[in-house]
Amino acid sequence: MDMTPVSFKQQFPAIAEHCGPAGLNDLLSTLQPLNVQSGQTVTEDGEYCDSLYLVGEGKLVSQITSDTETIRLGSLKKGDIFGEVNILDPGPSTSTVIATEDSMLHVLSHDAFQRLEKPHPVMTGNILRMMCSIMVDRCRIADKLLFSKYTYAEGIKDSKSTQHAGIIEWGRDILQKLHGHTGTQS
Amino acid sequence: MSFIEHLQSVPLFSEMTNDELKTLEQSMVIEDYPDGHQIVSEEHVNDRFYVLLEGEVEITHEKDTERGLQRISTMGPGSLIGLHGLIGHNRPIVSCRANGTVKAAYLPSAAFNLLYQYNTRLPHHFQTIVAKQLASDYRNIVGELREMMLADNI
Repeated sequence: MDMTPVSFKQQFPAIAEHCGPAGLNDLLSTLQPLNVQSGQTVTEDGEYCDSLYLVGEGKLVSQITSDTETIRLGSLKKGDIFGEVNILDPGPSTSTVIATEDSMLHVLSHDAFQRLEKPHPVMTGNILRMMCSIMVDRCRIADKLLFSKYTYAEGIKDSKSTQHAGIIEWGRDILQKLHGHTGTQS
Repeated sequence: MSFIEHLQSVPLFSEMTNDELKTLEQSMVIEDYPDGHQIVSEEHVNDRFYVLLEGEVEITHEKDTERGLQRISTMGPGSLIGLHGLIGHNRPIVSCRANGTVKAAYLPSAAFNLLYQYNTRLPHHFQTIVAKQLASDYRNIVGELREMMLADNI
């Protein structure tokens, strides 16, 4: 089902507020629909990605993995977006996103976004500015966590590892805030 | 080397046209700083965005240093400084100090905001530069964070 300007404004007001009528029409015509089934992977941690994803329907989870464990970062639902780092700076995805329900996404690629620049420089500039604000907030939270973890690691490096589980839980909580605020993650 | 030539040598600015660079030149102020000058401090809200033109700055986390922890790096010509404080309207997350004589161009916050009133490609180009730098910073911080979280030897 095609998204209308009205439904877009309702679902994604933070983006829509930067779009005039013509810009919004062009943006909507640029979005590519992507239907994913429950269990299907949308982005893979470390794999190349160059797109922003807007969740039109369904639910998804984001997570990071190591050889030994998977850490769930947060959930995504209708109206959320993810992938803003990759649309700005195409490269390795910073997490894996998997659908937990059949979901419908709208995909805005880096190239498509760049093509909007010429006819709508103010709109794209302001959307970029919005995404920059999100990233600044995330960087600040991540930096605080790093500072705390460095401090914590210095304090416990000679102690028993029984506190390890505690700090991992705490780190997960911060990462969920990091990736989950305003429902977005990268 | 002229201001425009300086910026043209910075990869992030390479897509800007001469006219856009001239507009930036009119908005930015070039200054020289002596060795040890504190360009950005975590203790104060920052209202300037800097492009380092010549020399080297030392990046520190003051709180880390107070606790005897060392997370110090250096940045050279072409580096962007002060973005986090300027965009977040908050204190910067790092401090930057001149390591030797430094030449930098800065854009005051008022001029930064005025850039977005140009109905041209300049706002998009400039914001793209800012966004790429922030995305890179985000990847670096989260990468370090993930390494620590997933490490077996915490």
